[in-house]
Amino acid sequence: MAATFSTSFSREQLSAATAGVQLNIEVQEQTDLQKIIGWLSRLKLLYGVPFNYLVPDVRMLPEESIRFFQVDQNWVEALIDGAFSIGTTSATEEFTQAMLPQIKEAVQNNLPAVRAALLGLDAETLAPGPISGFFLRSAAVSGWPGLEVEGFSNAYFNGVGYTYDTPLTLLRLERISPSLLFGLFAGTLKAVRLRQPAETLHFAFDPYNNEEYGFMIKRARYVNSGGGVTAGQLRTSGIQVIIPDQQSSRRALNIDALASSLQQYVWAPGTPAEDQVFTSAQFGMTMVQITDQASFIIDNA
Amino acid sequence: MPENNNTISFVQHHLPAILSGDYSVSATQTITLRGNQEAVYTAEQYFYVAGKRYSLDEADVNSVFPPQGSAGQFYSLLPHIVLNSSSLPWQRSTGASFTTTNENVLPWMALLMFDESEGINQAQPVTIDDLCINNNIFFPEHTSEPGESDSQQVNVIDVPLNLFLAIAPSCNDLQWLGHVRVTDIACKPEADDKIVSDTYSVLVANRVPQQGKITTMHLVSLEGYGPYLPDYDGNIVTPFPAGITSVRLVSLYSWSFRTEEGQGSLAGLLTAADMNPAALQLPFTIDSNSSQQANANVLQALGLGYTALNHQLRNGDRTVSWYRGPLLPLGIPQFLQPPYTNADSLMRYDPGTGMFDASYSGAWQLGKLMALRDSGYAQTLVRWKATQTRAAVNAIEEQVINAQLGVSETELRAAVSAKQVRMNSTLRNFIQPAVSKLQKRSNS
Repeated sequence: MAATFSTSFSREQLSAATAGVQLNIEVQEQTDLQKIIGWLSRLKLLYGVPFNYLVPDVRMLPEESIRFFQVDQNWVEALIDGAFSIGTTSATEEFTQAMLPQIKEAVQNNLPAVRAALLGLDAETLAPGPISGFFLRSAAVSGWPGLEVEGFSNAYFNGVGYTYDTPLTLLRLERISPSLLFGLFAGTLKAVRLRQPAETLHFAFDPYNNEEYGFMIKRARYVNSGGGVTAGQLRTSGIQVIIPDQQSSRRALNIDALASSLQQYVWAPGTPAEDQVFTSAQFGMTMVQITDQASFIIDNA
Repeated sequence: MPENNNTISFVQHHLPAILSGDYSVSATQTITLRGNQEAVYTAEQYFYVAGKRYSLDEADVNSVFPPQGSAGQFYSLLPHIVLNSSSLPWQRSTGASFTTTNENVLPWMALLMFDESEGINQAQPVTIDDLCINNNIFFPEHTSEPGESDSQQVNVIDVPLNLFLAIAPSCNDLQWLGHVRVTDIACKPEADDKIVSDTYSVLVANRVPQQGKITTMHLVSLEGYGPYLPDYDGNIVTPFPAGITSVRLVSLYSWSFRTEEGQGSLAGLLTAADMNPAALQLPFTIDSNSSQQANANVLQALGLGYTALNHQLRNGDRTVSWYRGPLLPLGIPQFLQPPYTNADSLMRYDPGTGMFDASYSGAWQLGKLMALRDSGYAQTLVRWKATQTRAAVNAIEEQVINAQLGVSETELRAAVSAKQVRMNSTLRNFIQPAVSKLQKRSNS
């Protein structure tokens, strides 16, 4: 009998064989594949893309402005395709093409993990869909670097104010220059709400009236919950704060006396006396003013 | 305005395990043998806890309020500084003996406010050696720490004694002027390549700004100043030496702002932000020298997010091409069908305007360049493609060999090793038939 062994095979065979290969994308260690998926995820969120590719003309983004956009997935596909093209030879081409859909799916699934890793938070899971976002170019960005941002897919007027629906997952929020904030959301952005960073809430008084600076009013804020009030709630009436010699020179407050006055007003009704320990933390909480937030709603018209 | 619904926690202080400065550890061992003391061994080890002392870096400061150079109605608030380190204000001591039942601890820094009329503006640089050089200017006792040199520059302000006694916080005030905030970071911008911190320390001033004036803030070191801080009436426990006319304070950080009409508040700035148009696109101006049709074409192109850019063609010709980035004023469906083998295959021609659209071609080229520039990624991708292709080729070879040897699928699945299975099937399919043929031959 004659046994013949043939080790030659056609390109079609290779193509057919690779089409059935399931990539092991769940591997936790930093394999080459994980590195590639991580790199392409950042690319898909436009990390490293030069600014003039994103905004080809600076007149699109005047000073003190906010602008909204939707990410063109064709452009991103072309970008990723270009980045995935290196190392493609005639020998690896079929394999590369066969694997690309799986790689792209893994990249899409990995998108929320990019920001989550930078914040040290757990990544959310995300359904595939459009990506949209905004630019804010303003002194608000340089003055409040921790500016807090929320995006919504719906906003409507409820007769009194606006109601915001369905918060969107933030995929990227970065100050790309000291006064320029760049945000990307999963989904189609309809409204963004910008909020003063909690670490920058300031201590303030209410002016008694605009003419007279001799004294001001401070409304205490409850520092604990109970008896029908919640921590952080403002009292309806305030205490008078004497601002010494406002017109002349000193204007240094007797902070210790202020703290002593305020601590009588900050406890929720029924708080036991032994729990009423007033420290610099309670003083801080009752002194801060919470005011500044602004919303931008995209008009559908 | 509605109150925020995210959480913030106020914490009294974050105290370091030990304060910055010099330390020594000593150990003594006494050897006693049969009741007789034979020897005493001692050892001493010095160490030093490094910490900020004479200056802060920009990276230490998260933000200040009111912001540097801003203008607004700030007369009813107390300015503050937010520091990125939560324990920095408590890493040194003022030297005051201060205790309270609520366990407040004095920060070693204070935020002092000066009007333009008070003459304390820019801090002056002096060397550490020159900190206490003048008999009329007070500077508290200080010992040098490792890593300091006498010629190191320190920024100082010299505050007239009367002014200092009028505006410096008392120890009783100071206990309330620092605290820690723990915030919710889910909505915050990312930091470059490091985990975003959620814990900050805040130091608050004890004066309100004056209407219509420029105010300069100095975050000063109170190290050693504890005994010299006045009470609210300007009296001090420890008198300054005779002849002192001003006190010298190390300025760790400073900024200024103006209290007058202006959009200094965050809400003011945000409300004033331009949103016309809301979409990211180039503003359109009618070109009176062009036809109505040409203007309409441009308007439409700008509305689709396009910009006309100069474009040098491969044959050296220059033309103007449309380009748009990935960020469009409107959503468009996905229609590209990658893969493409080169950038030129993505160049599109618009017969309406006779111009090329270089957008996707540019994106493809950029992706390739970014990949090539990052050698780590490029090498990984090339290696991965080659390895995976080789593995696929090997798998096919195995299949071919197995088919030729007549190895069955069932056997392969149950097998310990492919070698074993092949050996078995070789024995079964080739050796055994051969042997039986030989036997038959010898029998006949």
